[in-house]
Amino acid sequence: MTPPMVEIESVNKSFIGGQQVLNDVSLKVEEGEFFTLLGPSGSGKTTVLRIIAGLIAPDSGTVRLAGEDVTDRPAHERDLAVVFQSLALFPHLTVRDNVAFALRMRRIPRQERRTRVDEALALVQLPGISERRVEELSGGQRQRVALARALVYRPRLLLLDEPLSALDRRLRETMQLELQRLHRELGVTIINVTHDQREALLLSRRIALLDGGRVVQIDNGENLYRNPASPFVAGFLGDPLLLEGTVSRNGNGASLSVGGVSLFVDAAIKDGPGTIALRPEALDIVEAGGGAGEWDNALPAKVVFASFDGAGTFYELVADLGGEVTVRVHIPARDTRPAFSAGQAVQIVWRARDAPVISSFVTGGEAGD
Amino acid sequence: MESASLSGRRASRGPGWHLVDGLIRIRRAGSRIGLGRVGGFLLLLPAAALLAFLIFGLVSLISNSLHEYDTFLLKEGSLSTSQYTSILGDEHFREVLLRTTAMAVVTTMVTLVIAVPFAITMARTRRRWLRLLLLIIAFVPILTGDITRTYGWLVVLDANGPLAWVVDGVGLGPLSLLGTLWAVGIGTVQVLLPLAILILLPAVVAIDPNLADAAKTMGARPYRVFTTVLLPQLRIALFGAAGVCFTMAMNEFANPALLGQGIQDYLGNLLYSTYLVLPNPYKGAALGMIMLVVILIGVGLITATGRLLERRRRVSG
Repeated sequence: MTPPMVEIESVNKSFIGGQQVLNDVSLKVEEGEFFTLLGPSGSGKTTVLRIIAGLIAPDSGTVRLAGEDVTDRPAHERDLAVVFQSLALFPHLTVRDNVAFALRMRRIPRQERRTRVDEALALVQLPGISERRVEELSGGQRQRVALARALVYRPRLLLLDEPLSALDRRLRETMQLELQRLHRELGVTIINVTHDQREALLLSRRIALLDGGRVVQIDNGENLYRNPASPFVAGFLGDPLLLEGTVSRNGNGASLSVGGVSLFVDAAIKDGPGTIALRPEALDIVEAGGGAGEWDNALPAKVVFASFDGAGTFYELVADLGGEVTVRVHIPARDTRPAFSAGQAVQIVWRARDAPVISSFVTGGEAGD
Repeated sequence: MESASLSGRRASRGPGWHLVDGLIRIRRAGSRIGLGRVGGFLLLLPAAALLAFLIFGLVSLISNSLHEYDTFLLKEGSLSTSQYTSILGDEHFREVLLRTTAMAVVTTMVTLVIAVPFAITMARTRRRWLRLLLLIIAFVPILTGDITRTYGWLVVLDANGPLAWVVDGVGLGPLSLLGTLWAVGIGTVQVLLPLAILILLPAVVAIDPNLADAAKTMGARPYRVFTTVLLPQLRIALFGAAGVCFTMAMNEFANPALLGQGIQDYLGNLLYSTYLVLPNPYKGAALGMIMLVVILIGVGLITATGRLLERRRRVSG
């Protein structure tokens, strides 16, 4: 069995001043995988990336690349590529010299350098700009040049430190597809750092979610979304309403009691305190007074605000769950029923399996496995 | 309307914003009054006055340098280039000119070699105490004034001073630096260092720290990161600093006088003695003009070299 491309074991890191940025971080990335480090700012994801690249030394723990311990190996001997958030293109060099930099450092002869730079620029669909200066390029072109510069020496591992975060949405989506294409065509292992949950879900096979310097959960996107290990994970993906309550069992299955209201939940969920995540896209709205019907749950509510956003209609409603609670619902545009209007009394409905419940022993604390 | 709501929000943040709001209002009022085209030129008046005095002084110096002068009767003579020919024909002058220029070139280069890593460390270190230490090392000497600083070196470099004592103690024999070019050079480099650092520092700060990291991840060892990424981006500041340091070194006076003990004179010392000891202000004027020309040529060469490198880089791509 081939060893994982990247293996980090119990890495700790504190910065000058004593603030701990990484707390016992371990993860494995397989060869050819598209892996994402996802987390809010300050969660330590960029620090993990820089430790893999060798730009920061961990206080303790080991870093292995393809089975080899590289913890003490300097960055210039690690044979990997990084695309930085600022892109870090050399402003004093032309596009060609930027892309050729790594080849020059590896003493590759001039002739081969030329052909490989041209290949790399063609790969990112930017032929014919090699003699331009970096400041003459548009934002999207710079992104592509930075990618070409990273890929030109055919690295086994490509690290991306939020290079897309500064782009406007349309360009970012184009570049995301571009990254996916390059990953497919080259088979290179990619580790991407982002705080954009959509980008993480769209691009990666597996995601490590970080919070406060710890790895909270590592899984594929769908599992992360459907079976979050903690309220934090549930809250980070899909922008849900989180409600705490107590799970108990009766004749019909399991239910979660929130503020005196009983919500049916998946039968597999353990008894005890739990947090339910109600995501706007998992909920639907029906006329008041019709009962739950085919749905597991029906919660009386009143529409406060409704607005068409292109992909569908976004609603804000208030429901009574032992106090007024604001619930957001998103109904896709293909739903052809007439829209509900503000002030209208309705029912919020959902299926138990679409609303994950995180069992917790300490409410609001970390997830128990 | 918009500014009112803005200042409302600022006021809630703290009293400091009142000051900022006040300044903005004054600035707006100022721009409403408007100075107009004529008023704009009025602002240049102090600078123009300064320039006028400079030009007046320069013209009178040139005029003096082109006249003969009777040092006994202290009377101006007829129009002539004799002041220049007598200086240029003087063996001692040529020796001093060579010494000054050679020392200016050497001290400038030594200063830059020290200043570049100094400025980079100062800009990049995360350790506050180190930055403070470097700041003190570089800038406290300028605060002490020329004479105090130079007398300090007199004590340190004296044949019975601490440096000689250490060197002798190590077994390298007695050391007598005072009166040598070494002493003058050490003193001069200390004068030039803060200037070079002041010019280099903003250029170092302007370089994205990620560039060095990017170069490392692409396989550049530390030495190559320095030569291929940092140095090329410091080029303009480096040549600027070289020009300033060369000019200052050419004009050195206190270090050759005190640390050179009067036996390692620079052009500045020769000028002083010509003007005030001889005293021949007309010959001194000619000497001053020669110094000016030499410095202009030197700075011109430095700038031209910088431009040439810049162009070659663009062509080679």
